Amino acid sequence: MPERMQIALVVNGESRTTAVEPRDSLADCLRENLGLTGTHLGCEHGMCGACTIIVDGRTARACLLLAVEANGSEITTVEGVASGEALHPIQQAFMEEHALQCGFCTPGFVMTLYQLLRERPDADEAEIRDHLGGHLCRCTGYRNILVAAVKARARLRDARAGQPGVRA
Amino acid sequence: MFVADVQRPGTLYMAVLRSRYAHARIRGIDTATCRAMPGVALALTAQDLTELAKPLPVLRQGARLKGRDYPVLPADKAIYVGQPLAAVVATSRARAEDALETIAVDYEPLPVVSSVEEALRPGAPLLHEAWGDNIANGLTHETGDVAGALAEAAVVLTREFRIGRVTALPLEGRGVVAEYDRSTERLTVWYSSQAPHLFRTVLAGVLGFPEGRIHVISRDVGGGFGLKLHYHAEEVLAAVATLRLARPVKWIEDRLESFIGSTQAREQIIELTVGATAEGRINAVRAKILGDVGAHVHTKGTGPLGATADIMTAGYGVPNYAVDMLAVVTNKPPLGAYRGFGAPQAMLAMEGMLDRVAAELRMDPAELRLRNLLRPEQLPYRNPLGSLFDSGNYPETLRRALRLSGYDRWRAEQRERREKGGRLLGIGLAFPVEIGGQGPCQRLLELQVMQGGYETADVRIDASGRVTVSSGIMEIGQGVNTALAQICAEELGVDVDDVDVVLGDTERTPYSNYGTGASRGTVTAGIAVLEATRRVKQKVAELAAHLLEVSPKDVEIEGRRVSVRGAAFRTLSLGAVAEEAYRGQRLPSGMEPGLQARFVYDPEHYTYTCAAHVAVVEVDPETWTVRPLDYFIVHDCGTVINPRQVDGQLQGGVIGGLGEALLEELVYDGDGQLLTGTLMDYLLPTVNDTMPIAIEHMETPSPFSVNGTKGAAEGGMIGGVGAIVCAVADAVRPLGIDVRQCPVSPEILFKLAGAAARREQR
Amino acid sequence: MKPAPFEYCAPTSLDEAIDVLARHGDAAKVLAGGQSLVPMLNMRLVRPSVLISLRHVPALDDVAVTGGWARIGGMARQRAVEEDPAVRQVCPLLTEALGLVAHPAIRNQGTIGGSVVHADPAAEIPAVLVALQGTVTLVSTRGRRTMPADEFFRGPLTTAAEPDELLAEVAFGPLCAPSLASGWAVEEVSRRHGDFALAGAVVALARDADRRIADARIALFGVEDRPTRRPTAEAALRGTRGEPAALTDAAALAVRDVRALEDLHASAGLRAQLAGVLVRRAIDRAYRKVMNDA
Repeated sequence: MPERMQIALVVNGESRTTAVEPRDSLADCLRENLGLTGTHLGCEHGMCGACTIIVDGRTARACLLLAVEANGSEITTVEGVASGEALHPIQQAFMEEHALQCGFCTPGFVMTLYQLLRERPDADEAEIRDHLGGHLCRCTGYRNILVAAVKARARLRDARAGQPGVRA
Repeated sequence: MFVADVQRPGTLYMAVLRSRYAHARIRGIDTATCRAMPGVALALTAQDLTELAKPLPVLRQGARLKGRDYPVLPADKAIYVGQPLAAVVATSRARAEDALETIAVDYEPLPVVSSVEEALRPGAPLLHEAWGDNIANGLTHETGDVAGALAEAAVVLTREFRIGRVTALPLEGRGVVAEYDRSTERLTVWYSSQAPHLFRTVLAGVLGFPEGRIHVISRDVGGGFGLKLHYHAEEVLAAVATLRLARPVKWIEDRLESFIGSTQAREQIIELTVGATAEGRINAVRAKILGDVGAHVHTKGTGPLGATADIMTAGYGVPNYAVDMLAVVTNKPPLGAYRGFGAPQAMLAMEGMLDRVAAELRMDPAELRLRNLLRPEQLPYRNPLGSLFDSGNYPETLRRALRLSGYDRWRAEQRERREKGGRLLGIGLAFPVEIGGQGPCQRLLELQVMQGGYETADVRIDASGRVTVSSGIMEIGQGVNTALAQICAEELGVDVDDVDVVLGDTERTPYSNYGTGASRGTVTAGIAVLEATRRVKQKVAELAAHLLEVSPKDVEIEGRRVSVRGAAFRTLSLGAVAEEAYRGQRLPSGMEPGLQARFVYDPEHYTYTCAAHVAVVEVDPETWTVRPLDYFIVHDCGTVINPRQVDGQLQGGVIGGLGEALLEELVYDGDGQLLTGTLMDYLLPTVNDTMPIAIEHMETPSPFSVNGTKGAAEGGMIGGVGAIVCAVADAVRPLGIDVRQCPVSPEILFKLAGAAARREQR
Repeated sequence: MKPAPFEYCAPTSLDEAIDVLARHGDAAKVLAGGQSLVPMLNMRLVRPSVLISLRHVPALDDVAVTGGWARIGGMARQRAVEEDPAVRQVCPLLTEALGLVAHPAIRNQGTIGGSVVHADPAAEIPAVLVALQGTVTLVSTRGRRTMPADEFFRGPLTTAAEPDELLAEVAFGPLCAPSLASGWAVEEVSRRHGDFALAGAVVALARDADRRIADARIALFGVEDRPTRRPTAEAALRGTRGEPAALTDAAALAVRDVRALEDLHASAGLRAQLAGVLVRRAIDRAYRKVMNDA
């Protein structure tokens, strides 16, 4: 049996070290080793998007990344999106627009939108759909997710424009 | 907290060995190497279970039903690819999977029955030798005189419809963490389920373990859609393992397993014969239903097929109806419940036939439906199988949907396009009549469903003035917890945020023998909550009145305060009243201490929601791709508690129906091997496959539920499958292409187009 | 769905990488972006005893645009190449095709080299490489060799790469000579956006100052067992002014004698029909573009 390897990651701003087998996925490492269970496994072959996280500034499927490959990387998971007790505008919009029902797929959608709206704050609906197209949801039928995404885009714009009471 | 998120100290992980053959005698299973692998704590086979676990029960009965139970692990033969044969428990899931590979199974392959046609052939291989055939159940029924009516009909059409096999595929698969504590002799099971209480009862029976010492917890459930009402082998195996090892044992279904280890759904062949008068009145329907129920009957028996038989004539008042249903076993995973149960299949066939009758009579399909839908004065209406439709204005619902969708404009555009050529436009209609509020205990017994349909609610006000509602119903994403809070809050006159709803924990909620399913939650649990809240409210009024020295009818409750009407300064907080109740020292004579009430609601009747769906699709005749353009629903589920939640159920249901109509199919080859066993081949709709869905509500309260509510969870799917398939059929009808199946893939259209072209040449 | 156990190494130079690969041969698999390999590991469809990660090999993700050629290192991420303005300038066909590959999160990690070496017959990148007469450069301890793309793709998931060879670089040729105006299009049909194509066509056209079609490149993907150029159709277009009949004839020629694949999602008949339709649509769109190009 291959020996476990020490890896060091920065996860949601915090330095973490842990030991993994070469075959351990980053998803399992985050969930089991680091107790960050917000990243969900829906398929383990990259097709459902539920495990989407941000690695070194780019979205990635955590089920398709080996933990050892993420050694030295900076990672953001859904646990890192809210600011303390305050929900991120994307999360807030999801709640307001009934964009989640069972909630299992939601972290993946949130992470993809989070990164998209940081890179492309003026992403239009076509671009949003293009990015969300890699995510599966069985409950909502997607409509409310799109509505929430558009709402979040507007709120984030307002926050950048210095509207009071809205945090980016 | 989903079940995979449950982290208990000392957890061991289970993996399941599944049969590679669809039909094979098991001569032996050698786990010697497996048990010696590093990290392996336990290996279980059928032999190990003979003392430890009884078979799992089928919660249905019936004179013709074969199979009252099914083994946790089969002892002598495997009857479908994916059937669990053994389980391994190890220090990690990866190690457990490594160990599985060392298990040697001595299979003796047997001939495979891969379709209902094969299963019914004389001399076909038998899955269950003792049966003498491959028929698991049957139903024959006639109301009126179908043959006579058909003889008088101006139009008689017979067509066969094929509904494909699908899987419910909630994004969170099945899963369980079972933990036995030797010091307290208690078994705790975290379980992703739609019915935790019933599971506890079933598990206790299977293990021979006292039910009172089993604690089942379903916290967050990542979707169910009917699948998580079924009891599979893995939950029992995990429990057996933890009882043996006294350590938590975790099994989380992975996606590959979900395709072959979980119950599957639908797969029927329906032959419908429909007779109509020259004026377009459907006077007779004869249905022959053949269902592929997989290798054995499972928790819900052959229920979906019975439901198809029942709802076939739907909201159309058909006076003569005959049905012949056969449930046939094949070497595929067993059939189970999936949103809609048996109704989507019926819709697809019946609505498809109505369109063909309309074409034959050169009548607009919507007009034909208006001529046949039950009129409001005909309800309550007992359908041919005895189901009582409570209320509704079906023609008005359809008329509004035609207005909402701009139906006439779409037909005009369709005519234009047909003249111009190019992409084809198709319009499909469906009128689902959806059973809800399952259900009256007695009626369930008559239907041979061995589950009580009552639901219980406890409502308690504590000394902080907050309200706690608990019920045996489960929250699986549909939002019933919010609905229950709303019902309680509105009745009590408090804010919805003052109400906590506790569900899903067998030690904190009252017993349920059914759980969440069959669009019953808001109706049954909702009414139980309503009635329990009324009783608590009455007690609050009586106690507060006593304390305030007025009559109970002179107090009113608002915003967590109880005040004397017209003298608001004479007031007590709800919390203060509760405190008195729990202290019990200053109660009026005859009043018991405490401030809680329980209500058990056993409905007298079902409720029936109706809706009119209009689907518009575009078919590219060069590539045979189908693009849904637009969708409209007018929906009547009686009193609406939370419109946003109902809309969410409809949107999700319609897109699920779209998946079934156009994309999803479990494809099996002649050896019973699944060819579409990953998400690369089994295609779920994504955001880019959807169309806008416009929804309008009508409210015709149910006379049978005290607050007028009807169920609303499955209708989107029930209508969606039929409406979209009918829309595709409508689009390509002028080309002589007859679409009578789902999913309708480009390949299917291509084949049908080829056949139509060859027919034309002759 | 956890992989069978394997050893992992992450060489820090190309020499080290090819050395390890030579030592282990068939028992090793090379890990590029992982978007094709890791699912297969998770499903235990492949069980290497050693995984060689290229993540830390320097310069393997370089992208160099010179003389109309886009030379792309094997480890260049699909998304990075898609967003590269220099690539868009010289090879807009590749940029357009990349937008059709899977989904952005997959393209963030997936590599150009990985897609080429995986050689799925329905993949877009190999088809663009073939259409543009691109090349593939392989390295091993035995040396370095470059071959034309159409020699590299041998069949479904099968290439000319030996087990001890690494893909170092692919080079996409120019659409046409710099003096000519160009137009291009990728057309595909898939069951859902982002899925592998049931069939697809890549077309690039160049016209001269006289508004005659000076050069044409047509390749099909998802239709046969590898991406293929359609030289007869290309020849038929050259010299014409793109009259409707010429375009239609060329499209028909492009799919004549096509040996279409048959599988779960589409029969050979449907694929052949789709190929014809998509080639025609791609030619039409590329033609409109090239005629509008200043």
